[in-house]
Amino acid sequence: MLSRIEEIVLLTVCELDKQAYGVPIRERAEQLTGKKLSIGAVYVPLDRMASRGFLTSYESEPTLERGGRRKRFYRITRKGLRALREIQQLNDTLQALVPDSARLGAN
Amino acid sequence: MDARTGSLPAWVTCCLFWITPPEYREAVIGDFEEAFSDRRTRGFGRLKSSLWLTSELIHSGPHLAYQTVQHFWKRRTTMMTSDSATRNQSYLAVIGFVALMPAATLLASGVMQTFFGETAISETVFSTLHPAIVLGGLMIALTLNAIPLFRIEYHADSVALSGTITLKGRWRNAMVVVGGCLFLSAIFLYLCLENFRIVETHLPTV
Repeated sequence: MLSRIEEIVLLTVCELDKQAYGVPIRERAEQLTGKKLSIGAVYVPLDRMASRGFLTSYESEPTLERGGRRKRFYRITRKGLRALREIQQLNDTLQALVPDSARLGAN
Repeated sequence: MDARTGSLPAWVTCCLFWITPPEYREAVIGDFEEAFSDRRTRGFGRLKSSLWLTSELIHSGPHLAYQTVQHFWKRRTTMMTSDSATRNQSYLAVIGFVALMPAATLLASGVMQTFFGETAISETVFSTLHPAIVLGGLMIALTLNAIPLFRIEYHADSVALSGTITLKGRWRNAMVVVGGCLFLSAIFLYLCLENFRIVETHLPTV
């Protein structure tokens, strides 16, 4: 089971595809959630999901705009995609159980 | 321009270097560098950018420190399963066997006295071996050998806190732990039998 922040970060990595590293992941997650995320806070779910096999990571060549430091890029694995699908199915099942009168926007 | 010179103040780089796990150090410092440079180029003043940087560092600090601790424990666990650790576990088993000796001697002399009526040896042993040496040896043997034998892991997520206890197949350490437990139970059984004798009582009949 993934936590909410893990799910958001996983979806962001999926969306960014080959450009998924710390800075864009954080910016996109902030846009999606509307909440402020620190740089360090992004690395906690990234590291946890990499250790659980949902993500793989590799380092790029050193870049001048980062003071000669490498970027760590993340890619989603098959296991990660499966986890996202399972969450989607669970959400759909749970949504289907909610009575129509209780749905948002229903009067 | 030196490839490693960025716009990030030295104290920030230094702080990040110490609180970030080595695996992510370069990436995290690079991210700070990129985000800081981006703010400067977007027209934020030096003071405003520095304030943002300090705030970002304060907010990121606990997360990065938590990761560093986790990586440290992960490395320590990996070390425990490597070849050199296997050698260390054998040393621990040997130390355990030696630490069990006082208890083994005490119990052997007790058995000899009980079943063969040999009092000379048991009296010498009882007067020489202080209980602290016997119990201390047992505790040392059990503690040193239980650490490589058991592995406790826990995982906390938003739903629940779950844990697993793994028993590893390190038979030397297992022998010491089992032996230590047997000796400890025998000593406590003896203490109970010696101190709490069954006394026959006659209740008055009404």
